[in-house]
Amino acid sequence: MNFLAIAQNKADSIKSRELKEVVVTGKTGLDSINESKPLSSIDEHLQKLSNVNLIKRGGYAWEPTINNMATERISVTIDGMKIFCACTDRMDPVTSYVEILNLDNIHVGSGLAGNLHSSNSIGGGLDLKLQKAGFHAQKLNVTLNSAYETNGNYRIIGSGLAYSSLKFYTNAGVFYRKSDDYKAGGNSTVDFSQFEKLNLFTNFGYRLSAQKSIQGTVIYDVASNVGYPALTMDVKSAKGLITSLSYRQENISEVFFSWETKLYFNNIIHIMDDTKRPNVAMHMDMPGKSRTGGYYSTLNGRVGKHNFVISHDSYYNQSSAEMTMYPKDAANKPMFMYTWPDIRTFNAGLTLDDRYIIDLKNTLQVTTKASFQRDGVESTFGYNTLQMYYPDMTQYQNRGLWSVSGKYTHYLQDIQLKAGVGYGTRAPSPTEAYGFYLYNSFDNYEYIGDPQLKNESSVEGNIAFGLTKPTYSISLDGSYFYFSNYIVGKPNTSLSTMTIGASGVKVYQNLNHATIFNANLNTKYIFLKYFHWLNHLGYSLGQDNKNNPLPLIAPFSYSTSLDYVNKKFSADVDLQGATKQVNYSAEYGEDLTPAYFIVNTSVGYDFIFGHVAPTVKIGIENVLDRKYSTYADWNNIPRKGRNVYINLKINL
Amino acid sequence: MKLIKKYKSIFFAILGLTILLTSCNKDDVKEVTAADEVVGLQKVDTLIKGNYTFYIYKKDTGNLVVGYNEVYIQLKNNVTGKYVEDATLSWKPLMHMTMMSHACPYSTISKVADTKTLYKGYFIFIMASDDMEYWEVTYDYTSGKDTLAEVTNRPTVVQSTGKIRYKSFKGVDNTSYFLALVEPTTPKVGTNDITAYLYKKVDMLTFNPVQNYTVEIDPRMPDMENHTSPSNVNLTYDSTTGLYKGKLNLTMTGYWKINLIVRDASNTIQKGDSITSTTTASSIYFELDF
Repeated sequence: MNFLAIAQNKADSIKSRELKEVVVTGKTGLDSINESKPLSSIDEHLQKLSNVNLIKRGGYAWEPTINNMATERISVTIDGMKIFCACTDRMDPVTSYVEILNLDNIHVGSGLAGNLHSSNSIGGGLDLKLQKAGFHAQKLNVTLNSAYETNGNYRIIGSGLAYSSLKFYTNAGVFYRKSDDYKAGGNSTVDFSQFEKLNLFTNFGYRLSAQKSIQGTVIYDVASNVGYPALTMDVKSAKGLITSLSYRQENISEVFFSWETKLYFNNIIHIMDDTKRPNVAMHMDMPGKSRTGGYYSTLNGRVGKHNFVISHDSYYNQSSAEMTMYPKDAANKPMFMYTWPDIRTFNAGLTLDDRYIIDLKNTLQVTTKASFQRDGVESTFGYNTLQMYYPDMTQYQNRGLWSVSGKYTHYLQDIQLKAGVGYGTRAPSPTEAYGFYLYNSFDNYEYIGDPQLKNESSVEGNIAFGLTKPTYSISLDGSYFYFSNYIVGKPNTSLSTMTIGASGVKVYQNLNHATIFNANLNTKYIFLKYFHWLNHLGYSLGQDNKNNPLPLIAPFSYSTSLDYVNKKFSADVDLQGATKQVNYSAEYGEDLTPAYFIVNTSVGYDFIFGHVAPTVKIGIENVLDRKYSTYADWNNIPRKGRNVYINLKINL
Repeated sequence: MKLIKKYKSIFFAILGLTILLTSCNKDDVKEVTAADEVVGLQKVDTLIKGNYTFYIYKKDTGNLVVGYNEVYIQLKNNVTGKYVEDATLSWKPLMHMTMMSHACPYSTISKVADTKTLYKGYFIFIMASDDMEYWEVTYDYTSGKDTLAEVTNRPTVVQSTGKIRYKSFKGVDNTSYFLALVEPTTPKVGTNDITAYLYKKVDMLTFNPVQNYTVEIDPRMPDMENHTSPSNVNLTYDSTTGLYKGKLNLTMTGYWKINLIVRDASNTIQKGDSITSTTTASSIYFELDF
C-alpha cells in the first residue's frame, strides 16, 4: 500500500501523512531536523499517520486504531514481540509501555498483510522498532533531551546513549515525563488528566563472528498517578517489564541471507485507583496483570526472483484481572469477582511470505499464515462463574486460524498501481470470550464474554494509485473489509446490571456480517525549493448487518500543512479538521460530534556552539485555543487548548 | 503447555507413588475408631443414663439456634465400653412456656451412611430458650418394646446472630409455615445446590412436612442496586429426602439476599413478593454473606 515509501527520503519523516506502511524516523532515532516536535509522545506521532487514529480517554495512553479497528482487531508488537495490555478497560495500550526515544521507527501495516509477526489481526499491525546502534566503526553518541509545554505544566527530560563498535553495541536511555491537568480551549481545566511516566531502556548486541550475533533488550516502564477524565477511575500504577534475547545469523548461504530467533518475556501489572474521585458510589480495587512469553524464528531468503520469509512464532499469555468492591455497609463482606478469570492463551503459527519480482514493472506478493490457538480460563472460581451463563462450556478450547493475502504492484514510469485481496480469521479476544461484567463508560453497558463465539473472519480488498513527480505527488487508496461473524456486544435484557447506574448488560455475539470502508487522498507539492505543501483527505464508513453505523468510525477528515525547511531552519503551519460525524452509533453510546478545525505552528533551529549542537524547536498547538473534541474522544472529553512548547536536544 | 501438563502429571504420579509406598510400609489398613467418626464435630452434650451415655454433637461451635440444626449422636454402652452400632434411637423436643407447651419440626434419627457408630437427625427450633421458657429434648434408646435408656436435657437455644437462614410465616390459608435453609453452608461463586425444609403446624405438638409446594428464589445484592444472577432454579419437593431442592447462582462473593415466594401445590402464593423497581425485597428471604 506504500508506493510513496519507496521514494521516501529524510524529508518524508514521521511528520508526513503520506507514508502509510513504513515510517522512518532516521537512522539514529528521531530525525530532529524535520520533526516539529521531536519529544512528543508516541501517541502524538502515531496520530499523524494515514489510517491510524487514536481513541483518547485522557492525556495519556491513547488507544491506536488502524483502518478504524481497535485493539481486538489489530496487532501491536515491539520488535516482533507479542505483548498484551493488562487493563480490562483499555487504559494501557501496548504503545504506552515504550517511549519515543526507545524507537527507531514504527512500522504500520494496513490490513491482513500488515505484519508477519501478528496473530489474530485483521485490521493491520503496528510494529514498534527499537533503536539499535548497530555494528559500525567505534562511535559514542550522548544526547540530552528536554521539553516544556505550557498547557498542563508538562515537563519532559531524558538522556540517551548510543555506542557502536564492530564487536559490540549498546543503546541506553532514561526518560521522564510529568504533566498536571491540561486545559481545554477557553482555559477550562480538564480534571484528572495528569500523568507521570518513567522509562528505562537498554538494547545491546554482541558479535560472535562476522555472521553471527546475539542481541538483547530490556525496557522497564512505569506510569503512575495517571488520570482518565473520560472514565470513572484513574490509574495508580502501570508497570511494564519487557525483555528479549535473540540470535542472528547473516549470509548463511546463497539462498538464505538472514535468520533470527528471538526469545522474549514481558510482564505488566496495572492497578486502578478510584480513591481520588469525589462521590464514589462504591470503592473498588481493580488490579490486572498480563504476562507473555514467546519466541519467533524468522528466515529470509531468495531463490531467483522470489524473496521469501519463513517464520514460526508461538506465545503463551496469562491475562488476569479481578475486582473487589467494598460495600457502604461495612458489616457486609467485600464483593469479589474475576473480570478476566486467569485467561490463558497459547498460540503457535507458521508464516510464509513470498515477494515475486516478475519483472521491473510487476511484483506479486503472497502471504499466508496458519495458527493453532488453545485458550481458556485457568481459575476454577472463574470457570464456575462463566458456567452459570454457559452451562455446557468447556474450560479450554482449541481454535484453528488462517489467513492469506496477495498483492500485485505495477510500475509505469511515475505511476504505481496496487491491488490486493485477502482473507483472514481471528479468535475472540480474552475480553470477548471470557470477560465478566466489564463496564464500558461509553455506552454505559456492562459486557460479558461468550466462550462459545465463532472466529471472526474478513475478506479484504484494497486498491491504490500513485503518481510521483519531482515537484509533486498524488496518491489515492481505498480498502474494503467484509466481515463474517463480526464480534460485537448486544444487549441481553434478561441479565441484571451490577455497576450502579448502568443501562444494561451486553453480551458479545457474532453478527452475520459487517463492513468497513476507508479511503485516503494525499498530495504533496514542493515549490520555491524549500516549501512543502501537504494535503490529506480521509473518509471512512462502517456498517453492521442492518446497515447501522459501527462505533468509532472516523468522519470525513482533512489536513493541510505548509512546511519550510532550509538546512538548519524549519518552520511550519498546519490546519487539521473534520466534518461533523453524521454516521454516529447511538447504540454504542456515540452522539453527534460537531465539525472542528485547529491550527498548529512551529519553528525550529539547529545551533552550533563548539562541539555541542543543540536543536531547538518552538511551537504553538491549537493556536486559536478552540474547545473541541473528536469522534475518538471517549465521552466527548475536550482536547488540549492552546499549548506553547519548546523542545531542546543537545548532542554531546 | 501440553508438555508442562505432561511433566506435571508425571511429577504428581511419582509424588503420589512415593507417599503410597511409604505409608504402606508403616502400617496396613487402619481401623476406623469411634473417635475417628466424630472428627470435625463439636460435642454439645454428654448425657449419662444407667448403662448408657449419649454423646450429642453438631458441626459448628456455639449453641443450638432458632432454625435448622443438624445433630449427631453416638451411644456408648458403659458396661462393655463399646459404642452401640445398631441402636434404634428416637427423640422428642418440647418447649415449656409459662402458659403452655409446644413442639417444633424435627426429623427421625438415622444412621449416618458409611459409619458404624454415628447417628443423625435435625431440629428446626422455632423459638429461643431463656430462664423461664425452655426446650426439653428427650432421647430414647429402644430395642423392640423395651426402653433401654431414656434421658432428658434442656439445651440452650439462641436466636442466630448471623444471617437469616430460617423464616416462619402465616400463609394466606392461615396456616403457620416454617421454612429453614439447609444448603449452602459454604456458598461459592458459581452454581450452588440450595436445599430447604418446609413444615406446617397441625397442632401444638404436630408439625408436618409440606409436600409439592414450590419455593421460588430471587437472589439479590442490595449493595449493588439489587443485582441478580441468571438461570436460578426454584426449589421443588424431593420425596426421597423430604427436602426442597433447587439451584442458586451467585456471581460474586459478598452479601446476598435470597428473596422467596412460597407457592402451594395449586400455585397460589402463600407468602412472598416479586422483586420490582419499587419492591426491593420480599417479605420472606434468606441471607448469605461470604
